[in-house]
Amino acid sequence: MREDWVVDAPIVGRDYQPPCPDQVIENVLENVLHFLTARRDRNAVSLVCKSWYRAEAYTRSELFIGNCYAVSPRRATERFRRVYSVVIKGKPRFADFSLMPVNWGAHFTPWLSALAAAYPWLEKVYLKRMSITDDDLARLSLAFPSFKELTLVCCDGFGTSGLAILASKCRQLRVLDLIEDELNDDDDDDGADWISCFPADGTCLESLSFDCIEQQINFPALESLVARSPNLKKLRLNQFVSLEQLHRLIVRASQLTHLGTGSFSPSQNLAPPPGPGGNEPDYGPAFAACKSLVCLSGFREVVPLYLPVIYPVCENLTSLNFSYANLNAQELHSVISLCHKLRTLWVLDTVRDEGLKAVGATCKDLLELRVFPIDAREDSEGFVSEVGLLAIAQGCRKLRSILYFCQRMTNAAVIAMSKNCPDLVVFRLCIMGRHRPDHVTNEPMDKGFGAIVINCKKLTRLGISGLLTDEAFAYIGKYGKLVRTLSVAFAGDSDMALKYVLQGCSNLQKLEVRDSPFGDSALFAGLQHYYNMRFFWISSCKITLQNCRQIARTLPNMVLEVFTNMPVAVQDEDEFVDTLYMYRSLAGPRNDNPSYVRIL
Amino acid sequence: MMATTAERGVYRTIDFEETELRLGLPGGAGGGGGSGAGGGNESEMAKNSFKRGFSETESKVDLKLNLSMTAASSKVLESRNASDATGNKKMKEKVTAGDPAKPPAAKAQVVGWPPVRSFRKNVMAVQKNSSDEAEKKASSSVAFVKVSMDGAPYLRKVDLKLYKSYLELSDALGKMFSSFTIGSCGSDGVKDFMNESKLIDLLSGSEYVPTYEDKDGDWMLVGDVPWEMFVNSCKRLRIMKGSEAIGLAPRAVERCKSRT
Repeated sequence: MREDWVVDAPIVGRDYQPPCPDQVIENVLENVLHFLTARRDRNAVSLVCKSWYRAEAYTRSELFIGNCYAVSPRRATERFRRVYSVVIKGKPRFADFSLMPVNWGAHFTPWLSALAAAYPWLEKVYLKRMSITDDDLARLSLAFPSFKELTLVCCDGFGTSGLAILASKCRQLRVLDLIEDELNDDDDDDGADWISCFPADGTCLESLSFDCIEQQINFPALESLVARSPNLKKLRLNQFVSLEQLHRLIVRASQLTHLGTGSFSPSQNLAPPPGPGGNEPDYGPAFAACKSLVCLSGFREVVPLYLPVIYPVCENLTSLNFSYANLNAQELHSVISLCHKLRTLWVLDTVRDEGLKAVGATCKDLLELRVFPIDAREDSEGFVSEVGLLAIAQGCRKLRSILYFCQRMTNAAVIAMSKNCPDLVVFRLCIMGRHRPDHVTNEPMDKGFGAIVINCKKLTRLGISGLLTDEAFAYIGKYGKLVRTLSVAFAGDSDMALKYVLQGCSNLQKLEVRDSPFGDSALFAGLQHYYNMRFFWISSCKITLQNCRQIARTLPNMVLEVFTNMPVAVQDEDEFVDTLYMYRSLAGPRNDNPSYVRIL
Repeated sequence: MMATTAERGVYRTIDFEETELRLGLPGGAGGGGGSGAGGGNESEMAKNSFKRGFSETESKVDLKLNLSMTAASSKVLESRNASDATGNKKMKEKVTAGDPAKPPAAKAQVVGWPPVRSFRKNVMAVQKNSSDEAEKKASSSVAFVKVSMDGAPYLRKVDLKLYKSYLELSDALGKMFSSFTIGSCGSDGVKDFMNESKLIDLLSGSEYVPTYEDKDGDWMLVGDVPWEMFVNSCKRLRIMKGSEAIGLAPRAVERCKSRT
């Protein structure tokens, strides 16, 4: 603690001793460090010497835990003493795709216990892919009187009863964002009316997101909540809020900056014919009054007839999420042609290549694009192709991040994007049909991805797909020096592919590999590097149990877990492991793993 | 490079061949046609049947098929080449897309591919079902339903479209809730539920039975209706104790009676 270097010596006559130079430096350091927020900078500072380590530990106010099992809660809270905000990430990303067995882990409870003991002043918690229970939510509400912000992304284990307790006890709550969580409610009818539980005399709410809650909410209570939340800027509704209800909300909250529109369709009990005018509220002016609106999402059951009501806000929009909206090219065009300031766009592939051409023509400042498939099967029709990608490449030169699902692609289009969009930081192309080559030349997609790593010098995240040989990996290993996250599926010919990557990509942090012909020798190639990585996931490849054991022996600070996606344990007699998930850890093997997850 | 192209062609064929084999029942009695070399690998096959990936085609099935199916596989390659004048690329697309005459479910689906979160898949499935345009397209690609088991502390979601029969589903459920047993199921899971006396025995015991809520909101015993109909009408699954499911039996028993 602080006893080893005193800040202020009391001035008492002859006994006065001016602080020694070391102490002065540490005081200064501490004050300077308050301005240092970037994690990497702080980590670097802490390595300089012991006193710098202490000073940094004392002044770090945000604790980021990239893998909840990499360090024990106690160790983290003992080192960092004045933390106000915590970010914890649990399961690896492939857990989202049903590749992990149920109850694998990533429980928030032990972290909560440590945080509650160490940081009673805690204000913010951000969890991603963790399991948090209703009990945890209750304890959290009671343990932190100043609690202000809770964000849960892709979490599970809790339900509306936990939310009800949180809403009623955390009177200073400013942010409650539930993003793509899976709530636990057993029966749709038994959900708790958590919306009614917020403080009756007014709330501090600035952001409320519940678009992932698949239940009706008490609408009158929501209306009243919005009315008594003067600071509310971000509101994201679920699909059970109809257009009329949305209207009632936004007329009371024209100060909103971010709006998730819910279903964006009229409620069922309106007499036909539907359509603007008639006995419907006038949606246009209500939207027009929201002059600060910059981000729109929702549109879960969009009736395109009503899209014109958002035209007035389009010119100021910087972010638009149409990824649940089944819109065709023309419907998208009517909106997008007004969105000149758009920086982020998520759409469904129903907009087709023509829709993407409209995007390329208007959205010159676009930084992030995601195109999702309406039919996510590998043999689905696929409505976008290299034509759309090319249109984006030609129009959106400032593009930094792209996620693109398609069934047909060419190397030429990918190469064109690599040249036109040199600022790309994230490039994730998912050709849904497995092993699909360039559909014009019938060649593997090696050259395309090669061009990306060569030309996009800032690239840190790469997702590859399609027919790929070892050549693609040679490119990645040679040129992808800044790549931190790499996602591989159904790719490569031999172990050389993985070797290129493990030996070439010096900044690799997160590697996820599935269904590729990589065996034991590939794994050995990375022995020098694994400890620099956050994790390595490899499933449905040709990795033997014996080899995993050997690696576990060779690298004592790595935790190696072997499992399948079913709650069935890997047997000693098994030759191949289905999934190997390994990560560095200061905490050693965890003790909360279910019996069917073996730790070697 | 030539070698690898040929290799790849073989892998694609193996996919298709494997699909045909799969129309039988994995791991159960009488599983699959023609996979004579199956023997000791069958339990592994069953375990891996829900993780259809490269490793299975490559390491396990590859060996079996090379022994017994090489002649057949080259025939298949030939016939496909002959029927498809537009050449190699189209052939690959056709194989991956499956025979248009067969329903899409005939192609072995891989878990977690394409990498789209189940939340999104589910939302899309619901939307597609409710729009006119969607009816022209293939029927809903996923059917995620919540599964709960009395006494188990967690819920799961399963995609019914991943399975082709009651037996596959019960295998998967059995592994998910490991103390759960569907009771005795012969080679045809449906059949046992049709057998009245066995049904009564099953229901009066303390073994768990799966029940489901259908579109009309009725709770029924799983196994009541043909598999396809079940997948299209099941909204949610609940695994309850046999004795508790007695109340549902009369309908099932009635149907048994009306069929015999």
